[in-house]
Amino acid sequence: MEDEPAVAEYLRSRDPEVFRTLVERHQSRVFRLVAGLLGPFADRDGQEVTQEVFLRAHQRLGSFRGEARFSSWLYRLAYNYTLQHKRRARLRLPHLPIDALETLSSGDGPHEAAAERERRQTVERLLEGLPELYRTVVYLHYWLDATVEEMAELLAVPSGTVKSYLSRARARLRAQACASGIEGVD
Amino acid sequence: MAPETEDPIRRLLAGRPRPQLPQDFADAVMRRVRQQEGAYQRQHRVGARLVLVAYWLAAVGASAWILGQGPLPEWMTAILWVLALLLVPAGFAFALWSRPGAAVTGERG
Repeated sequence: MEDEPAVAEYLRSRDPEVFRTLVERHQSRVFRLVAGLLGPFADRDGQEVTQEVFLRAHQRLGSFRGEARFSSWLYRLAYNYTLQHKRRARLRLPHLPIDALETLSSGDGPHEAAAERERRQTVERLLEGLPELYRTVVYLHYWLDATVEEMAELLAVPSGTVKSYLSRARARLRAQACASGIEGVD
Repeated sequence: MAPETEDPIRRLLAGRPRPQLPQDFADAVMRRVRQQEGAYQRQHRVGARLVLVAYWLAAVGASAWILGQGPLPEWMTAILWVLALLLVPAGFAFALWSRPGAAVTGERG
């Protein structure tokens, strides 16, 4: 059954199996979008946020009128909720880079470890300093290996726009990396 | 473009663990959906009962007051009681109970 008829069927019958089908069909994509938005340096696991997205979707399913594709509606909801979650988390939690913990167990000498940590933190700062959309496409592409077509679907923009976001993100990173004295960013 | 090993951003991101969804992710979501449904229906029933009780009290009061104003033809009295105490509250109850999980404002699709 296609998504839209499945939504209508679920609203009519409230059969949990129908909603489960929708969850299973979209869980990977939603999770990748959420993970791409949270990024690899997030304090919280994307799983929990993805669960919240599906609960929210379940709660609001009655407002889905079938004017857009269900997947677009769901990805938009995931996008909005994750950004909202990130904003709240930023206000609530102090930032603790995971690298600080990783280097504690490193076998390198203290100077090398400190230099590497500083370098990583600078790169992390550069990435986190990118505008939301640019950062998301960088994480989706370079961290999660998402294709341009997949990103276009998740972000509801044409493929050309995704390519342009990627290219602009790379240009910004290159410029900022040069300014920070980091080489090899291209 | 520089080789991947030379690009610190690629290297940094490649070194990060890729998140994976557990096999039982859909089960976990469905468990929470059932909890959500249960909580919503409990809330809904309590709300519906409160509305019905309030309506009944108001209807009984209003009907008694109308009847106290003077004698009405028997058929009019019967209609008043049937409408006030049976049909309208039954309609309310039907409307409230038959729409579990109805639309809540949010993303439009």
